[in-house]
This record gives sequence, C-alpha cells and structure tokens, in this order.
Amino acid sequence: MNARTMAITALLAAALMNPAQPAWACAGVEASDAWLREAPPGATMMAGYVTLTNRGDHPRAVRAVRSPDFSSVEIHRTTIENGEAHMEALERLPIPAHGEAKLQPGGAHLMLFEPAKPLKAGDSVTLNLYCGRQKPMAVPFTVRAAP
Amino acid sequence: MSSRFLTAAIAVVAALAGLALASVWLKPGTVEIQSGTLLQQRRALPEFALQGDNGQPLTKAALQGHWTLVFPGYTSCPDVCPTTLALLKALDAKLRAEGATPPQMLFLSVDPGRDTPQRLAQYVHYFNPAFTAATAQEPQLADFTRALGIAYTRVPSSSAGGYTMDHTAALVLIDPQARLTAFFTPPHKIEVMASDLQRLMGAAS
Ligand SMILES: [Cu+2]
Repeated sequence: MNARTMAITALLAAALMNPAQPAWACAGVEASDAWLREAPPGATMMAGYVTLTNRGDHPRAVRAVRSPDFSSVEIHRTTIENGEAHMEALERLPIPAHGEAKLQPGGAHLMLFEPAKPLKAGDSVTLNLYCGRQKPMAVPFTVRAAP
Repeated sequence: MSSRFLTAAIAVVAALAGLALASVWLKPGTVEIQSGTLLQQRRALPEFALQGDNGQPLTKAALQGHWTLVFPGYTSCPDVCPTTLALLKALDAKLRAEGATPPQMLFLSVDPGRDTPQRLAQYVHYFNPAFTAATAQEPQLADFTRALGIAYTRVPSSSAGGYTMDHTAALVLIDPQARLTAFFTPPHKIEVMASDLQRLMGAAS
C-alpha cells in the first residue's frame, strides 16, 4: 500500500465514519411502501407516496426529486383548512433523525408531471430523491390502482 | 255504558298523546346524520345551465327524480380528488350491494379553463362509467356553486402545474326535487356515509 493509496483510504474511511459528511446525501434514510396512483387516461399529472425512515442520528431533507419518466417532480402537500382543500408545493421534505416522513393520500405527496409513457397498475418507475447535491437515492415506485 | 265511555275516552286521550309524541319525534329537521350536516330546511336550487361531460347543457331538470351527490374538484388534482372519487366508487358499490339505489355522482369541476367536457368524461368514467361530470364558464359556475354553498379560489403557483384550485372539500347531497339537502364533510367514511344515505334516501321527503 503506497502513500497515495493510504491517503485515499484514510479520506474514504473518514467520510464513512463522519455521518455529517455522508458518502451520499440521503445516508441513513430507507424508503418503504413506495407507490404511484394509477391515473385516469389522458391525465398529465400523477401522485406518488412513500414512507421515508431516517435511521441515522442526523436530520435529512429531500430537496429535489427527478425521474427520466416525468417532465418534472415536485414535493406537495394537501391540507384541508376551514373545509377547503388546498395544495401547495414544499421546498423540502424534512426527515428528522430517528423519525420518518410519511407521504400518503390527502397529505404530503410527490406531484409527477407529464409521464413519458402511460403508466398502468403493476408498472414500476424509478424516482431519484436528492437530499443534497450528492448522489441521489434511487427508489422504485410501483403503480397501483388503489384508492 | 259508563265503562264504554271510559274506554272511548282513554282511546281518544291515547291517540292525542300519540299524535303529540309523533309530532315531536317526526318533526322535520330533527333527523341527524353522522357524516356531515343536514339542512334543517331543504333549499330549492335556482335554475342553472352547466356543461355536461357529453358536451350537452346540464340543467336543473337533470337533477330531478333521483338523488345526486355533488363532488367539487378538478382533474389537475392527482392527490385528494382521485382519493375521493375512489371512495365514491366504493360507496356506490356498497349501496348497490345493500340493495339501495345510489345517488347519481356528479363531479363538478371548478377549473373550466383546463377541464373540457371530453377530459371530464375520461376522468370520471375511469372510476365508474355511471359517474357524471359537469363544469361551467363564469359567471354560471360562480352562481351555481354559490347556490350549492361551495367555494373555490384559483391560486397562482410557481409549480409546473401553473396554478391550483382551492375548493370546498365537502360533498353536497341534492334530493329528487333538486333541493339542497345535506353536506358530507371530510374525513369521509364509507360506512357512516352509506348508513346516513340509506336513512335519508329511505325516509319520505
Ligand atoms: Cu400536488
């Protein structure tokens, strides 16, 4: 092992050991129950849901979502206030340390614009979740015709 | 003789008491529903002209002769609107399974700028081919929604969707005489709504 290899190894080890500077930005975050609601024919928008669990000691936040299967993806939240349904875009989706962010119908959701091809129940698409500028977290979403 | 008179008197008193009790128990407006608000006095809707999902005008006559459940929304709403339509689909199936005639479901788009009749037809028929949809241009839409007690606001947004529509999350029940009857408020629960509807639609209006 020469000096250069040793230095690189040391840097890598430091990066792996220091959770504040993870090798990838969503470190410690796990995705489960990731699904998209099958949309009526001709729909130009779809909604996606997922549970993100942060097993780490540091808070994380999804700041952007991208996918080759959609023209754009936004993080949204539906609220019902004074009997009125309202939908707004969120800048970021925080996932507290040892906590979770649950995206579900009638609450926070991923808003998916212009699917590249019609998606039917059973299809799968990959969404890339960015917690920072580093490597995204690639999450497979299954299309479901569920309520 | 006096005993027959007594029997008759008791019968009259009992009948009067029964009538008095019945008038208290059966007084209109004392019926309660668990899933929303029942109007104490049903309110006749004014005449209106909407655009149906078949491209034809939809007027007050279309609401007569059957119950109607109106759901305000818009198709560029992929989260809460499909959730509610899927719920209405399940509610429709549940009522049919119980032997009841479900109300006609009417999706009322508050986004006539994007929701063409063709788009509305595709959207609601995906959930159930028997569901209907309508919208209207202004000021007809504002007039009709005001009569229904529905509010909506166009909210500009930097989102790729361009704008969103805030809208009343309640479902509006209209009776077979085209009178405003009840509001079902979220969170909508199928079991509770089904039993309320059974009771309302089964009772004489
Ligand atoms: Cu949205």
